[in-house]
Amino acid sequence: MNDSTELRPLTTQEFHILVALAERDQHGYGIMQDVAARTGGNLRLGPGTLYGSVKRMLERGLVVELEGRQRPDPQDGDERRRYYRLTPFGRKVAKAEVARLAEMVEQARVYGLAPKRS
Amino acid sequence: MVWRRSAVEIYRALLLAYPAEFRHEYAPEMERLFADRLQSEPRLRVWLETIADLAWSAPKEHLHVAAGDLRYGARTLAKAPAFTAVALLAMAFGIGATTAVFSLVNAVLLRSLPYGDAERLVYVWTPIPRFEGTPREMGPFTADYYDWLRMSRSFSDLALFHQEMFNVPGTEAVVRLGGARVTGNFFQTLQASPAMGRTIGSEDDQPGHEHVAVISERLWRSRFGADPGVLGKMLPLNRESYQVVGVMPAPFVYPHDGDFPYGINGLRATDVWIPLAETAKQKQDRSENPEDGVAIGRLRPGVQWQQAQSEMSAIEARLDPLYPPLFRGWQAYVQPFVESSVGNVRRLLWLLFGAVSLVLLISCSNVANLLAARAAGRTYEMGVRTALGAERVRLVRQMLTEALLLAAGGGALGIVVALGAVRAMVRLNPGEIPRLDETSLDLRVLLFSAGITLVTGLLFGLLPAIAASRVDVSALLKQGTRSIAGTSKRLRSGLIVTEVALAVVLLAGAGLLVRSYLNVLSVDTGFSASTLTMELRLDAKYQTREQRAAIFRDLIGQIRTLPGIQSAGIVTALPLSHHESMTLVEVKGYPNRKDQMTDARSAGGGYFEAMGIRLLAGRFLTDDDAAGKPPVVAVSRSFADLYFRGREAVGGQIRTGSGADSPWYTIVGVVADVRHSSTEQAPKPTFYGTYFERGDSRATLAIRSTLPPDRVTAAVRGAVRRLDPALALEQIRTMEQRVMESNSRRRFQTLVLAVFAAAAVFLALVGLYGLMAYAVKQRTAEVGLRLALGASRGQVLAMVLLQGLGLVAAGLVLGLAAALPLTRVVAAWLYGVKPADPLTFVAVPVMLLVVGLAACAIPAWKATRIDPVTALRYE
Repeated sequence: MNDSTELRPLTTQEFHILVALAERDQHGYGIMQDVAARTGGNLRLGPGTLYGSVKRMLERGLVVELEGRQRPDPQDGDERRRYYRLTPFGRKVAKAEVARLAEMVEQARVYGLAPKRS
Repeated sequence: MVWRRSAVEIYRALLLAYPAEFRHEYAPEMERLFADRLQSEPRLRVWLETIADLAWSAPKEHLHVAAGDLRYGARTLAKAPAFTAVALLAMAFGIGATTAVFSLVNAVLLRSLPYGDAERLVYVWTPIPRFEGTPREMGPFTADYYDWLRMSRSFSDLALFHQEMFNVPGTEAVVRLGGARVTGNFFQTLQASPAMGRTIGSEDDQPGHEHVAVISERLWRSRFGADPGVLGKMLPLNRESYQVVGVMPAPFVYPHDGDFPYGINGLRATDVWIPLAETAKQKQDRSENPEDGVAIGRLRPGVQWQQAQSEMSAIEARLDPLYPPLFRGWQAYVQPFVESSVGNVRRLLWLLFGAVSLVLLISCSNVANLLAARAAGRTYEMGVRTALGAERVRLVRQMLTEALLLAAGGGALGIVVALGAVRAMVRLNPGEIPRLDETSLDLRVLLFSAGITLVTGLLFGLLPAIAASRVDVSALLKQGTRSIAGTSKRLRSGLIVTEVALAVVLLAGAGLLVRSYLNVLSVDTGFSASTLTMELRLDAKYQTREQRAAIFRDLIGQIRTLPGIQSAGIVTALPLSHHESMTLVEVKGYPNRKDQMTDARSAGGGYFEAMGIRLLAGRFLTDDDAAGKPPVVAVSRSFADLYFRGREAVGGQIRTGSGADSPWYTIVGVVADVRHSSTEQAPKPTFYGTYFERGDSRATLAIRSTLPPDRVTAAVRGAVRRLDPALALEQIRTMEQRVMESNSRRRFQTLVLAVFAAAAVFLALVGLYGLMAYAVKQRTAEVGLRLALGASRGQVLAMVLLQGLGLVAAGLVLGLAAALPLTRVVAAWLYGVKPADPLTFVAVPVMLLVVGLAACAIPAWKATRIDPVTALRYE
């Protein structure tokens, strides 16, 4: 598999999807709600954007779709929903992205663009 | 709830905006997500956000698919370099040739002229049909023009001008400049504004005020070094001085060659305009020899040229009786400007456009053929993809993307081809095609090539794509790859038949034109090709006939003494010089018709010897025939044949004009016919009088010499300078050059059509070869089996050849059936050949059969080399 650091940077949407899936396996609507909650309603993924991103993340091996038994209990009563799970590679990419962002914040801090660590 | 269900249905319909593949994968999920949100969020907000999401993400998904297809397409094309190269070349040629021809059409027919709304400009000519053989485009007399101004209502402006060549002293030698004397409303009529200063106005158009000049941008650069302070400077023209008052912008050079017939031959641009400034007497002159000019008018808004025609006909009918009785019969002929300037070129351009479209069609079908062959080779790939769930639409889209990628490459190369072709065309000098020099690849041409690239891509991409996607998966899985290519094979055979048919049409057309051109080349012009000719015009200093005759007599006398000169003479209207000269003629002892016209020339010095015109009976005219002796003439063979059938022409008598008091001229010689108006037009009955009796102010020198033309020209220039340094020679050309010019348009169209036909045959050959090579490969097992069962190699060879030739034969039948009626289109350009020329219509099929045989030979030979054992194991 590709080295995660060589991949092009994730888009904002993709990063948020990875974070949403880091907690637990989710279906599309769950991801959407999770992202909306974490961003205080600022980022609402529309269906096209969401599944477009998911499609390319599947192609790149960042996430997988869960099959049959793997799926969590269908609480909302709909068994046909598709659930997605973060792959180990996806987790690695997400970490690399976090490290990259942290590095940027650290640099910004040197120039007084971010609050000092307490 | 009902509203929610219908909302989801609306959203489902909107999902059609996404690529099919994406939709099939995610549409149910997306609908569910949409429905979930509707349950928990405000409806309006969900709708707004969803629509925004759709507008953003649907094009994005399409782009992702297209990018993927392009990458995939580029990879597959790169994997088949031979295929890609052949297809690209075919496309580049097709698109390049079409673009080049279109850029020509664009420059000549479409691009706007620098004369305001050119569609509303008309010429007004005054033909005199009772004199047979005279052209319709006769310029009106000055008096008529001034009466038209008063009487007509059709024109918002009507201008008159005279073309004139001016002698301008330069730093080294006298320069000849194309010029025009124009009425005060000339520039207003053409709606042309100056780049600097002013144009000529009505205040200049008065005797005594006429010493002002407007000059062309070119003259401003060449003579005044683009001096911004040129206004007010003096310009000498024909020994008089004119003050420059304005400079026209570069595109304005009206009139020039090709604008109207019988203008100054070969004049590429008018460089100086001065006022016409007619006196009151000139404005009313209706004597037997008044001045004439060219009238150009702008139709009043709402007036059609047909209305102007009826008005002018009525007006001219009222003016005609004002002329002397023997000099009447004038009519008016209103001709749209655009028809005059491009009318005769238009058909040529449409012929080229038609021919090049056929070539483009063949190119397209060839590439379609290649794609179909490749698609057949990819049946397995397509079948597997279909089996894996790819949709037909998806496969068609993939193949179309590939085709368009190919077309785009071909289009880009095609523009390079077109650039070269346009340069070659301009250098070929197709003869009198207006504004040919301005042919270039402008935005309109580039848009056109982009358009045809797209159309061709779709054209040659769609058929194979649809054929290839129609794969029967179960048949594929059951039988392997062999028998699947049925549809594709029929398609490819059909394309080959079409290609051969189109090639037949082009080849037949080209064959007829080549035969015509050869006929024209072998025409006996009646004169010697090596004779050097040059024109000399005298200016106003030479007022009397005697003065004019004297300087020409002196000049010929001097030229004869130059070293290396064999003979020298002059004539008033040289063959192929666009000068026509006709007169009324009466022949003694012949039942003369009323208004009997004949061509007339005046010759002096050793004109016949210098031109190599053969003497058939009697003697040539000599310089001693001139003054104080019984007047004599020589006649052409066709003149003798017409008027002296069955009797001796020499000794016969003719007289010109219509007066009963005109003297009789005795015929002393009969000379061979010469081609005068063009190399193709049959010689007309002509007689030759003696020049020195007439003393025209313009004559053409004909010189036969053993020396190279350059040295003769230099020597004659010296002689002219010694006689009068203010005079200059022009139109210096050998008769061979004039013949070349006369044939230039025919040469151009023949060459271009021949090139297109050759390309068509070559493309058909490549297509046929490709098909046969592929067919043999497909039938390897079958051939192997036949050989194993005892078929001879000869039988195999015959089988393959017959299959290929069968296609050629079908194409021939179709093509000949189409070509026979279509050759009527070129009938107007044929010379000495009938549209249904048997030689052409035998040669074309024979040639294509030979070419077809050659195309099939290698595949057929390969088929005979098939080893039965290997072939069957391969299966």
